[in-house]
Amino acid sequence: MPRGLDLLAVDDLQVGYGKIQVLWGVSLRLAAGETVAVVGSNGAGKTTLLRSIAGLLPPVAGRVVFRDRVLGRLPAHEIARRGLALVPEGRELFPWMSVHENLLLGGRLCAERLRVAENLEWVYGLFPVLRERRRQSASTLSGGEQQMLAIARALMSNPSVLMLDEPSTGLSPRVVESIFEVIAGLAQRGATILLVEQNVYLALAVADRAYVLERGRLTLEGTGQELIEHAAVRQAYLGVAEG
Amino acid sequence: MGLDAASLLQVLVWGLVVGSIYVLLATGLTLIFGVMKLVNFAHGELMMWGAFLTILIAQSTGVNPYVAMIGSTAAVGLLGVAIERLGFRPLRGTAKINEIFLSIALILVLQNALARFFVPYFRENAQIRTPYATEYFSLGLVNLRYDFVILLAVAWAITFGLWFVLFHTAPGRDVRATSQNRAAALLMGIDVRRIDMLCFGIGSALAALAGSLYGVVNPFSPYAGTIPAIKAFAVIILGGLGSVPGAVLGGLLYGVVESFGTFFLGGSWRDAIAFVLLIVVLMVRPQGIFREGA
Amino acid sequence: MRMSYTARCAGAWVVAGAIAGILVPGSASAQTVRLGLITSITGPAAGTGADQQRAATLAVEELNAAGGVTVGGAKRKVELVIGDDQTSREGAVSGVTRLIVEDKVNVVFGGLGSAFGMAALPLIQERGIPYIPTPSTPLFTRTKDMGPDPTKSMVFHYQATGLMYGAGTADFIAEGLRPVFAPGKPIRVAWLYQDSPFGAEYVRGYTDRIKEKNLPLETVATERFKVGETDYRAQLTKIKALAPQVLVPMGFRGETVAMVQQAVLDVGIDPKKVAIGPVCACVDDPLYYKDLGKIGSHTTILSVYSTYATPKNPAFARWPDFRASFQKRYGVLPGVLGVSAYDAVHIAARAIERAGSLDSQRVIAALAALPVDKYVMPIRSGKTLFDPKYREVDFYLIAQQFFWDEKLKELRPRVVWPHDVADAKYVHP
Repeated sequence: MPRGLDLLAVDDLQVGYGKIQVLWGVSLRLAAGETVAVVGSNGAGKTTLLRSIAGLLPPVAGRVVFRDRVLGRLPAHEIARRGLALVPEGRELFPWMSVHENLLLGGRLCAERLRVAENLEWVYGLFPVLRERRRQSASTLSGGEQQMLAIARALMSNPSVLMLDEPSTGLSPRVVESIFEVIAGLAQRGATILLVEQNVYLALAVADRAYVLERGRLTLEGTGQELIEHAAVRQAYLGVAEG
Repeated sequence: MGLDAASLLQVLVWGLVVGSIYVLLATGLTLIFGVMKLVNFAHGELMMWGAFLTILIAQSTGVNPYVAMIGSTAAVGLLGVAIERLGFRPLRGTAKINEIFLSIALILVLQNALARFFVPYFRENAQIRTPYATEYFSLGLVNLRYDFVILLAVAWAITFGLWFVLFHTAPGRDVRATSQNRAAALLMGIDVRRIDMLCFGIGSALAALAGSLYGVVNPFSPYAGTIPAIKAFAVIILGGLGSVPGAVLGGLLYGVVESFGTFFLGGSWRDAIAFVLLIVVLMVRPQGIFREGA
Repeated sequence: MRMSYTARCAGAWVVAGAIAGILVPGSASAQTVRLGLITSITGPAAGTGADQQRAATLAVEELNAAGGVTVGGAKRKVELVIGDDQTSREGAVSGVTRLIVEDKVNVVFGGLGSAFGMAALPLIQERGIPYIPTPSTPLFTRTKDMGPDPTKSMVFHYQATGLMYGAGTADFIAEGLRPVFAPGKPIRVAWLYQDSPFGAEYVRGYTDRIKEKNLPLETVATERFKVGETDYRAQLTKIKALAPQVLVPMGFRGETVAMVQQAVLDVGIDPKKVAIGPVCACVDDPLYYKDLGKIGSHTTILSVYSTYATPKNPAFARWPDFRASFQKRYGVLPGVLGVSAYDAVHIAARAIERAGSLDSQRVIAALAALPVDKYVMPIRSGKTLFDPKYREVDFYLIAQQFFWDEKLKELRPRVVWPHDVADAKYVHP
């Protein structure tokens, strides 16, 4: 995929749950090979954004264009088939299936068996602990292992765009570090990633560009470096007092 | 008195026979519940429709009832797919109570429609006659009618086949995924609406097959499915909602306990046993023998 | 001739009254005798309910063909009103309510399910309407301890009760089966009966009779099953192990067919070693013969009305003609519940004629004093049709044995007991 081509374009997206509107016209771009982060505090609407793009939540207004195709009201499974993978908040594993079976499900969109086998080798290489525990049922894994499994499962389908929803939640700093190492590695090798994170440091460290989402609206946009130095960001998210 | 080996073995066999019917019923019910999170209250009615279609096909074409069962099971399976597509799918996303209403309404519709056709011809009840009615299979201490042997063979072949598909094939994995985590299944590219139709269809087909086999060894009527269906509910609660292995073990357990219970305590206890057993298990292990999830 | 103003007013009132008498609903009941049949038109027992409906209709047609019923000098047409108990207690209550309150029937009769008929009884008692029930429970006219119940004085039970059947069963086993299966010894009897008031009454009649006459019967098993049961195998297995010489399967038609088939085919009870029967009279119906099949060969039934046989005795004299006219009218044969409903219509008509009025109290008194007559159901004896203590009828019970008719490919009965009406001897298979 040539760098620079927009793989994902979100235009003026408005999303709500019943009568409660959560996103008020969000627009963003994600080009091939880019890693873009969306940061913001709790309740800002970050998860809603990703779920909506993935097709789990129908928008009230606005549109999402993925690989030059307007997604419209395509159901989530169709969107997944087109190469958009989401690692959801809460991981959403298949609790009574083994690690191995979870991964096989991730790879079910692969056309050839051989591809699946190759991908399995690849993700076990990225997360060796999963290979150790491959016969264990997913619900018996630790929090960190579950997150790794969720990411590995998403990678199994060779997605064009990988979306990650708060991968650091509830995990110890050491585990988070190792996970972000993997994410950084993927980013370096040209993966197209949309990362939603509450941990702003980590997010901005690994992202090329970032957006700030506050109460359903995008308030800032810039490169990772630009935002780290931005006063408002520093004050609100990095815990640095001004003056 | 009455506690000789032959009698006890006989009673055990009856327990396995009735248990096998419960296994088929409960497996279908738990599949539907696991995937759609929906209680199919009309399961007993689908069961009787299966029996009725079998006897209808067998009597009007003269074909062997066991062959007729293939047709009736498939027909009810398709009926199940239609019910899901036209009845439950439009209700998805609305209040859960709508599904409950529809499920209950289906009882009335299916039962009365069946009575309409059944009663003028068969009056109170009917039984499927097979060419093997007086042929026996010797198991040492007991002689078993061929029909019972066929019942056990068919029920277990189907159950094994279902288990194999669910746990050792890709489509089966898709079904289990949908039942364990619907949102994640969608993200894996699984068309969960297709899975819903498929599972309601398979569940209905299993109920119909259970009914047909039941109708060979018992008299049946449009109303005879109610109690077995209720027992099937007890079985799936016992076995863990959504768990197919739980339904299999629970169904067998129920059949055997019911048979021995009737033998020792008397016929008035037959149905009560099902619920006493359920209460005992729920007190000891509320989540059922197996936890939720296929 | 000019009429006075008063005369014209009076005339206007007379005309208005006449018009009102024709137009006001309910006043039609003043013109006809209305008999209310409460039976199962819908629900699982609808098949047998249809039998009662046909028989009652035939009886009413016969009455009207003869001009109707004479009530105090005037001949009135008889109207049959059908109430549906929907094979349920609630249905029975609402059905009887309608018959009494809306249709304003003069007599309520019929029914096949004891529980349903009993459910409607308080209504009947409250209104004091004459009631001729045809289900079997003796509780219609008796208390729970089987004593006479004065609060049920408007009820006249036209059916053989479970107590009678039970007693008849004991008599037949002692006189008819014991000489064949256990001569000179007590005969071992196993029961598999319905867990219901009907079943309990039946067994009670049996045990009371054994005690009363000191009969040489040893009851080795009293297994039960719930109403509507389909699987009797566990109980039959237990019974088989106790080695009885007689197995009495007592239940409704569907239950009995299944019991006999499962006993012989599934559990392996050998009809050569174990006499199966006598089964309940309530199953004596063309469908029983058809459904039971060859398996029922040599089994026995205790009957108050036989579908096919006609014992040689004046009490049964009306059977051939009745069957013929029923079959001519409907193309099918009647069952025992149909026959009792048919008789009940004629009984009600005769009582009303003797009472000379439709007043409930007078009709009740007439019913109580009604003499024994030639009804289709076989009546043995009595000064009055209904005995004064229990208002029940002393019916003639017979025992029949079934044999496979190769030409008809169906079972046919022969009367084997009591000896004074039998046309054949009991045959050991």
